[in-house]
Amino acid sequence: MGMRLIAVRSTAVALVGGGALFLVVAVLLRSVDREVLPTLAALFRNGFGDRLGLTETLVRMTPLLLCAMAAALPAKAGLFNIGGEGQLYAGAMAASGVALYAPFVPGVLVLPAMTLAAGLAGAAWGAIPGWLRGRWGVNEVLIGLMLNYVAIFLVQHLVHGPWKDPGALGWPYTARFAPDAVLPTVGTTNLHPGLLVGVAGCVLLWALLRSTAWGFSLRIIERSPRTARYLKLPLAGHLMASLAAGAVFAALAGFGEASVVQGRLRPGLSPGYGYAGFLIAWLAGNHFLWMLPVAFLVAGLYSGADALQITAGLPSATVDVFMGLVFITALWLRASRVRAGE
Amino acid sequence: MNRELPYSPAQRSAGTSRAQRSRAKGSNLTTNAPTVQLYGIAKRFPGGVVANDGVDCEGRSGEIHAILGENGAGKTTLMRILAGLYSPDSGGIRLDGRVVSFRSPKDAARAGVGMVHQQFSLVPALTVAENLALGAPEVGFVFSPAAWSRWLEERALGLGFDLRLDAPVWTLSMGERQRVEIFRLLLRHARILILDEPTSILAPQEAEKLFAHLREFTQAGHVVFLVTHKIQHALAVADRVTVLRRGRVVAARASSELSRGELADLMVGRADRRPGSRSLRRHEPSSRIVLEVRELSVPPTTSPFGIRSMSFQLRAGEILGVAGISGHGQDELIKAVAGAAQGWNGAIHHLLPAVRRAHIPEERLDVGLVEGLSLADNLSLRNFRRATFRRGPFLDRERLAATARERIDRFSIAPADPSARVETLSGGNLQKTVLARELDGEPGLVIAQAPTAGLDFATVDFVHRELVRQAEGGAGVLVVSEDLDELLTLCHRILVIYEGRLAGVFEAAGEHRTSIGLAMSGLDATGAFSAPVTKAS
Repeated sequence: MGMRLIAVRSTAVALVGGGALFLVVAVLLRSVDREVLPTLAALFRNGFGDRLGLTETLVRMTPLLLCAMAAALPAKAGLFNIGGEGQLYAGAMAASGVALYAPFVPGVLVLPAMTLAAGLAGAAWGAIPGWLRGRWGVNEVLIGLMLNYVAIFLVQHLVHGPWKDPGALGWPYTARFAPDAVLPTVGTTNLHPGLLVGVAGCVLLWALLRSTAWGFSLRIIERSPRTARYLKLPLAGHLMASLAAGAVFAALAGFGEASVVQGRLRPGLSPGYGYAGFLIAWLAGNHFLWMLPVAFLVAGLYSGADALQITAGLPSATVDVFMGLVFITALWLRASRVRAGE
Repeated sequence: MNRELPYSPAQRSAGTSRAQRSRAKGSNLTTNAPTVQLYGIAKRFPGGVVANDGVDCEGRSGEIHAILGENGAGKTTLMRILAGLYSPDSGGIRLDGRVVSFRSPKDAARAGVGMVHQQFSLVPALTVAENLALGAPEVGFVFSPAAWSRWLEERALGLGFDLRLDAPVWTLSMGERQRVEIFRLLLRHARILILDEPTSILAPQEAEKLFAHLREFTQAGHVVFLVTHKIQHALAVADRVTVLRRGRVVAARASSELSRGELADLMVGRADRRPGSRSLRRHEPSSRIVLEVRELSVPPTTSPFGIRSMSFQLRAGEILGVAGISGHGQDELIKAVAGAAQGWNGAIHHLLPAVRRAHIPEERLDVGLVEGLSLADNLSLRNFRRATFRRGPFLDRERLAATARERIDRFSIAPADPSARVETLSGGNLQKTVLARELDGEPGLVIAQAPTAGLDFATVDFVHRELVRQAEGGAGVLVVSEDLDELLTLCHRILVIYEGRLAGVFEAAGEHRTSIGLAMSGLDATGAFSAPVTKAS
């Protein structure tokens, strides 16, 4: 097949994919008696149309981008990190512990201490599947997935029990963090330095992976673990380190959500950012620069759908349905491209 | 039937028996309409590789037809088209005079065409009977293993196969596995049998057994296509030979009309460049030992045997061969020597630091080279962690690239494009890439596993000369190969490995060929010039 024909074909496939996506969304919206085009227009307006929407999109982008990094870095060593959600909660948990139960930390050091605690907790949460994979060849997907539940239920246990706010009238959450434990924000918005960490981290990781011996080692490991073993690269160490290092970013996302967005530790801290992050990384082909626009677009989808919930009375699960459809479409597009390029 | 070993140098004199055979079937060969005709076959792969360019080839009823050619000549592609795996860009297939078009291997199988690939499709953990049940149309939803075995036994008897139906496939020798593959095709009523490099994994005796089987098969009027790059095999067994070079037919003749030299010329397109039957060694090893292995035992990993209590020494300047049928512990031995085995016992003394050891692995892609990375990157796999190739925290790309270019030049790797993806290189250039990387910097110990398997003459010659050059430069060279001719050409001494034990040590000389072949099959090598010096209990 000529290059031209392939190009024509993939354009056609993309059009068909986009059309199918639109059709399914339209049918879904009609089935709950909503006008199709106005609802979609509202979705985009709320996500990207005005200052308020854009701010909310950037706030949403912060944990999404960090969780995407948590998936993409291990992916550079050929690993699937499905444990972003658990790593996020582990980070939130550790940061909250410092914020609430370390009165001996002086005020100016609370935030650095929280950062450190979140980072360590995330690294530990990521190192477990990484070590099991590197040392014993245990599937990191299963362990990561199981550890998600461990972290989520640990948080449940803490906020229902030992860490429960006595003044919360039975609500399951901790006391509100002291101002020292809240990250600085832009004005009155929830925009905090986490976004900067994410963006700078993406650029830095992109550069490091491209041009260091470490990045080269990961490229070898990803494509051929047997060559890595033949070259006597420390395979197990690289696997564990990349998963643990990725997990640190998800943990920082959890820290930011607890510190700024919620102001306390509570269950339901994340509407599945860990999983969405994995999807973003996948959609961006685990490319650290491409992840920036993709995370932004998905964040817009989240914030737009949030607004729809209020203005159009659509259930909050709408965004999950949208995300799922977008993902399936992308999956199909990629599959057909792979077949065409064969 | 009077049959010589196919490797035997006395082959030419044995040619009479083959000629008689051809004459006996002469009428058959000339008058019968061709059973299968491939006409005007062209096949081009993405990237512009022309595998077949207007190939005509016919297989006549009752003949063994060798498809001979160097690596990359288009033999396998042609046969895969016949087997329905590829569809040709132009040209077609006529079967018994009718034009057919195979859209899948299933179509081809239905028409009676079956192919045994270089990589077997058997599941090692299952028994022979279980393997044969996989995908068999005779097996219904309700499966009775006992009834299935009985049925298979009957069929095997009828077809003259002696198979251990209840044995797990991993316990079978390569020859046995091959017979299972062939038997499976015959169960599907194959009339046209294609074998892709069937002898590359067989001991001489096993190869001879295979040939006998094929002759029986053709006596029923069936056709065998034998894809090979070994001239002596083509001459030993085929009635006719089609020689391919760069995707075109350069000759299609009765094998009785052809000589070894002629075939070699036809294949490479110039005067015989076959690595000489004469020895390449011109120097004597020194007395300095570079590697000493004592009472080494390695638990089995890829073979059922592992290594049991093996001892040997390798001297500087010496080329030491390890002969044996694959899967008899070679993998475990090399892993242990290369420092990648676990749980071994005994002693391995390296008298050289790790940086001076080169390892040419059996699998070029996936072990020796990384698919998806560029040629330059693959040439840098050993360098990139060294301080001299770093600028601050970053890789010194220019320096790595310069080294890569230098190596491409010195080993004349094609394409000479450092940014080319390594998987687009031909088999010979893949191996040159591995050599260029591993042999740089004067290694003192070179471990080479199957260094020329599947390569064409010119590259085989190139690889051999490089290995000899290393030895002349003072390196100890350990060569593992199933190709006895190669070891006899290259080595000073040959260790024979059988079921994980040292079955004998021989001075490399032509007169030991038979003894070595016997030792490879686990038989006693009596009458050898140097009796086994080590025989483990």
